[in-house]
Amino acid sequence: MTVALESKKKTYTLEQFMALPDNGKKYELVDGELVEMQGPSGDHARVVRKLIKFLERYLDPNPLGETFPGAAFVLDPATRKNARLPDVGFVSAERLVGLDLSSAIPVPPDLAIEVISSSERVDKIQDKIEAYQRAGVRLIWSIYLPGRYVHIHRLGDPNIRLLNLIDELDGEDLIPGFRLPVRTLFE
Amino acid sequence: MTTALELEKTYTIADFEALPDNGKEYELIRGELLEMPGPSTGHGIVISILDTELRLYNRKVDVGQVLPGIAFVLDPENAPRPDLAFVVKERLIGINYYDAFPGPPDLAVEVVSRTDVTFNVDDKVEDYLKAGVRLVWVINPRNKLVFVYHPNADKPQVLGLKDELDGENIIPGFKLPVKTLFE
Repeated sequence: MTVALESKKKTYTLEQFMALPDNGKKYELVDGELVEMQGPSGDHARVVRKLIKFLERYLDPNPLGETFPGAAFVLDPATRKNARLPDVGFVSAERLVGLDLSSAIPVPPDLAIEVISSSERVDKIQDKIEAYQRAGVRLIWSIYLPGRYVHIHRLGDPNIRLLNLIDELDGEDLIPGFRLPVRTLFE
Repeated sequence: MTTALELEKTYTIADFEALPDNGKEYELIRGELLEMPGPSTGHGIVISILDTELRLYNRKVDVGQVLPGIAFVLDPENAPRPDLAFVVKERLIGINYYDAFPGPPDLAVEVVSRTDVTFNVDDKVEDYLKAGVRLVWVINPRNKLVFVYHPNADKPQVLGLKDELDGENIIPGFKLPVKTLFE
């Protein structure tokens, strides 16, 4: 649901967005407008925590990049009107070099992980996936909490790969060798 | 006059069939009465294309009936209205045309709407398969994908623009390129 803070059409710069006072709510910046995010449920937080745990465990001895949970990523560095907060964003080591991380991460992630709760609308999910793909995000994992399945979206492939409890997440060419059975996330 | 319906109470099939005609269409899902939203243009186009193709093919082979927007009684608490459905000929014999269809369709087709919540679509598919629907097509006009569900399969097949819908053993020989739905 789109909730504008003051008036419906008010637009924000990236700097204003990052300087928003903490009112207990989380927002994303979508075409310069604020979009309120759903508060995460316990199940949501649990899946995110597990993802981070297993990713970090793998990345520690294999420094291929870094995970950023809940950070704002600028999807359009040239115009800076879109900042999204994937549940987990991964940026490869070579793209991290020289990045200023003191505010929003100034580039899109390589891998975006979204944990999707029961009440999220199909079109809002699709908006986000399309925004990531327009920004060049190479791999998206959409983890559906109620259904316990994962949609894998690869850049340039209009199809979705569907994983369920018997399958494994795969870091592919971004985090080579990283594998995680989907069921691990829901145990 | 508008008839107020208590949407919170649990409804049965008898209540559902006795609903007064207030110009709205409802489905009974897990004992809850849900009003059907008016379909969007995109939604309507996809249904109309598939409906036409199924009818044209079925006119030649005559293996059953295409049923759009009909309520199917799956069990005492569920009477969903798939956007489109197909029932094979043998199962149409002796049907009372004044009531909701007494049983599951053989094929159920749902077109995902903008405002749908994934969770609800998943639940509906689960109810269909549990009730004995043999094939479910969930069509998403937004990402132009079709999810094909079978009972006892551990996951749906995902069809993209290069793939074809297949009537399988319900409408044998029916094949339709997925892209036809979105042209």
